[in-house]
Amino acid sequence: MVNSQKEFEDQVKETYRSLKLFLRYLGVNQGEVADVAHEVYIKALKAYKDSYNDSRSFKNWLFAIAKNTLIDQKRNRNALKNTVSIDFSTTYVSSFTEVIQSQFAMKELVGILEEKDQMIVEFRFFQDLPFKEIASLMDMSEGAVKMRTGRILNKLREKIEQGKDS
Amino acid sequence: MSMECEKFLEQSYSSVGGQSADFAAHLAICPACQKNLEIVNSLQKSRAPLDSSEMSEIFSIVNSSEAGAIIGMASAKATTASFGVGKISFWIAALLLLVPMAYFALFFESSQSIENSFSDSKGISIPNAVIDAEKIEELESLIARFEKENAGTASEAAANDLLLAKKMLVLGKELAHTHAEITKLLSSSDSDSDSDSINKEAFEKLMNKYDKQKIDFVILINSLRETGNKTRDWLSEADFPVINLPATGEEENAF
Repeated sequence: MVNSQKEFEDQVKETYRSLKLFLRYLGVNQGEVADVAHEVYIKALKAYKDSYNDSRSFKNWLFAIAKNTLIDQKRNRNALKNTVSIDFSTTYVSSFTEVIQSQFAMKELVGILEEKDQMIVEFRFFQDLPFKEIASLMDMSEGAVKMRTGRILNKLREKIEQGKDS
Repeated sequence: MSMECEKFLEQSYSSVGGQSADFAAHLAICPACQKNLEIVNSLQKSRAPLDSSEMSEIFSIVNSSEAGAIIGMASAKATTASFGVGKISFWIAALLLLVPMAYFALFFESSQSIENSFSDSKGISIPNAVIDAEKIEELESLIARFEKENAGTASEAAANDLLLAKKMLVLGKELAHTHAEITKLLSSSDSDSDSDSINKEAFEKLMNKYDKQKIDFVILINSLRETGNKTRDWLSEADFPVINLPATGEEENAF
């Protein structure tokens, strides 16, 4: 719920990085990401005030509006596909700090994931979006997102085990 | 990951709704799920905090929404509709470009320069600006001419463009007027040191008004940036200044 300016500010702080990552994932150039994100927040806030349906959270509104904004711009849903930025991993991984004396470097660990997997990690573990919503945002089935999340965790776990052995 | 683990995948890492007793029981005996939970916790702990550039961008978004996102959206809608025809007349371009330019001129012709940019919110000293009446007259004349030229066309797009240009002109004038009031107040406080406390209150009031008007103006200009047309390119080339309220303590220095 975004009932006050303070709540809106908190939501922006919480989602800003994720939204930018999602926009990059959808193919927005690095130089334009901040401008598009700004536009999306203002649109989301207005849509929220005008037509809020309490079955959805502000976050859900936000990411769906981001996607629809880009679909509108490209006039074609298919145009969103195959536009994943090649340096997305670098962008994403840079949001993790190197933990010295940690048993594994989280940055390095996340870097082994594909762009799509990194986006799922972001939505699931940092934005707490339900699988159903992630599926809708990423044009996948709910089952596929679930399965992929399981594989992501397996992959990370294996990597850690390998690190321990070596 | 076993079928049993998958069953709990949705609630395993969710802060919403809590965890069921079934899951808690499963977690107690499943090393894989325990390890997964540990990985997710590590991921969350390793997240770097927002850096200064991100904070600055967030500040800009929150400010825009605070100052009246509705104005921006209404303008954006009008602009998008009008530019949807894919054709911008010379006069439209001139109007849309000249109004912000006149705004810049009002402040850059001052004896002191405005040093702060949008990303730097440390505050400014108030310049002794000379209000350039000719610039305002030039714009009014442009709008009048545009109105005359489009009188017979009854074009909705032209009407929208005109509306936007007029709105920018009105806001630009209001800003200039408030700015002049602040300048006047500052010069009067120099000559009458006994009225400092009264002037300070008036000064703060005027600065608040000035800041609100300024944000409205920025939102209007930002709404043009949403159109993705040539005007957007021109505006993005200009290093648009945003004048911030003085930081704490500077008010005292001003008097």
